[in-house]
Amino acid sequence: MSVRPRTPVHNRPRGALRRAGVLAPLAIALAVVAAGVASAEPPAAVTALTATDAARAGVAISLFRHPELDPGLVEVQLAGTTAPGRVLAVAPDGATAAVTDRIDLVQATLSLARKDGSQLRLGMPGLLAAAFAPDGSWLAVIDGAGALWRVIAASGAAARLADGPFLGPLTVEPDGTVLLAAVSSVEAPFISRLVRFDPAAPSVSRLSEDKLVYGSTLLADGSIAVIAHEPAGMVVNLLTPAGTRRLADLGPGAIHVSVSSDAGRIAWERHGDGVYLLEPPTGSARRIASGSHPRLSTDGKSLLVVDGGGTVLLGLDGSRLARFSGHAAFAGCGWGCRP
Amino acid sequence: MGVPAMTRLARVATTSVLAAIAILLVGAGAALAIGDYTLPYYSPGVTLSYGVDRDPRPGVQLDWTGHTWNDGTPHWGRVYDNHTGADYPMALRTQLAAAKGGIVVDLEGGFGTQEFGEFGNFVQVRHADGRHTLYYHLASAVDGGIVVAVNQAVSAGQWLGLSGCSGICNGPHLHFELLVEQGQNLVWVDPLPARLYTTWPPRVPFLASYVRESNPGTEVIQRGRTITHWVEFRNVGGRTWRSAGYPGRIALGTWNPAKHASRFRASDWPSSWLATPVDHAAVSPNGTGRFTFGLRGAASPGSYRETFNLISEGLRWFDHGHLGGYYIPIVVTNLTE
Repeated sequence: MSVRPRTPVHNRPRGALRRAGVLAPLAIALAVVAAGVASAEPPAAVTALTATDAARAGVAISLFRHPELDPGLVEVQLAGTTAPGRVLAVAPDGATAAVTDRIDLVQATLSLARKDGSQLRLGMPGLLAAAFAPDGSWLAVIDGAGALWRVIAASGAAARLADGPFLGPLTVEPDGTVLLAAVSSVEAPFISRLVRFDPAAPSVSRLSEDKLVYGSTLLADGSIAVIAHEPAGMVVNLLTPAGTRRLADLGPGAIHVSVSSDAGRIAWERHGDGVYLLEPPTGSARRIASGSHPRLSTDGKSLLVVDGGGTVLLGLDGSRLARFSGHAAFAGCGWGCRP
Repeated sequence: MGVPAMTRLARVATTSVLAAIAILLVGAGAALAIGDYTLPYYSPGVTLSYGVDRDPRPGVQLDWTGHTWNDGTPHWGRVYDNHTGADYPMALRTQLAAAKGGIVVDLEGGFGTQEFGEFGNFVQVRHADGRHTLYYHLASAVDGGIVVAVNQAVSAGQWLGLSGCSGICNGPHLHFELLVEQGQNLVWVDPLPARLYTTWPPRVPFLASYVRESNPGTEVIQRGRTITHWVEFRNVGGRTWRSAGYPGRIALGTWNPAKHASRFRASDWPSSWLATPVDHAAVSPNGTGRFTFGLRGAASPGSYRETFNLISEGLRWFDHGHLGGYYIPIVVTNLTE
């Protein structure tokens, strides 16, 4: 019998491993909410265009309302001949839309397009998300590095509020505070905490214990629906002054969740499978249509989905009410505007 | 390419700075001994594009070589500001593998394979040493981007899924992170100084464990005669072993020193140091491969031992950094004994 080792080519105990080159860890306490303070970066340059200027430059953006279909529906036609563009946010009154030439990490143009065809265009250091304040006077904007900015809608003046990194759900509350997600990093946000940023302080406070928040909806009664990823699947939790309760368990594979303002309806997508609808607490989930990126209207009585290269307005039974060749959104939308 | 650099005045809230510093110091000790992790992909052509920024200060970048950059600009092959992982550009749908055995604790596969600007698809694996590895920007689950499930045990090198460009990603690549548990937190560590994430293409996750052999004791060989010996190893890595093809075929060769001419070479050996390729045309991960070869008695009677190791020909010896050696005790006798 030999005494040779029997594990010649497998992993060896870690204690015997190389210790050369002591590793310097990056120590960021991920559970600690990142906040940062306002920076001294100068505001971005702003260019004002009339409707004629915009058309001449090939960057015209037109807003159309369709009250016969839904009082909050806004169709955004991008006549630009350059980049296809994406709608980031629509003001609550539907009179202004925030559009970007591209979601980008380094450099992007934010266009504030008004109903009369005029625009304010400002360069941003990347652009990931935007949302209007309830009165439409300013926007919260997340740049490519995850920093939070305030952009005045009337002038385009921009000021950096916090360094983040932030990502994802972005909502400006009536008192000027901002709901958003503080993430472990913009590129790999495996931790995403729902926080409230108060620009006046400035301060950041965590709102929920959910580890990976993908979205949130400020409900009509002031409570917050939190859309959170869990290892077992997607859930929707309701944050109220009385505490937190589970509103729905959507299971694995659910994505792009949209909650109506009364929390009476939840729509979501299963990638490659279509759009589902649930009416909690008693309803059962049902697939209502093909497509992706569902967005419920404020009253929850219709929804927009992306399907076949355009945007389709659906009834709750999946019936097609209208089709738009380009972008359509509901007034007041922010993170959920951007399929 | 990953997220380009951006200048930030303060990444971490004032109230968290002290905690972060404390964790930094603690993490420095815990970050040692990670040589049993391997590259999380198989493609030999993949190299690092951006490593971890080891300096959390905005605009200041400390790359994996120890060089500090104060310009906040991305530096290809080195670092970009506040980068938390290692980026490896690769073609869409490139196979990705676990850097080490562990348990899948979380994943997301619902986003589109190239759905830009969302949270992105990922797999998170917890390892027994308290570290976690993260694999980001994966392809959609419906496109085969994720082939594991939460709570599933995975072995080192086991296929996790396919690369994509979901999330904050402007070109197909893998964003790979290594983290260590510190209380309730996970703390980033940079393994690059330990050459874990080497750009050396041949470092691929070939791993094996000993199973059994034809004679676990001493082989007694009459002088001038040849006996047959076989040994079996389990493929505990992520790549299929193949008996043909160069580079890459799996074989048993002499070791210590590597590729020495064996005095026990038999006529069936392909070369003076190469005893045999694996017997089977292919041995899948978790399969067992047998290596059968002859041993011819040395010229002089006596006691010997011959040491072998597994090699992926033209690529690497298995477990190059910490070999234990597999050897066969041999006694050569005269014909008359």
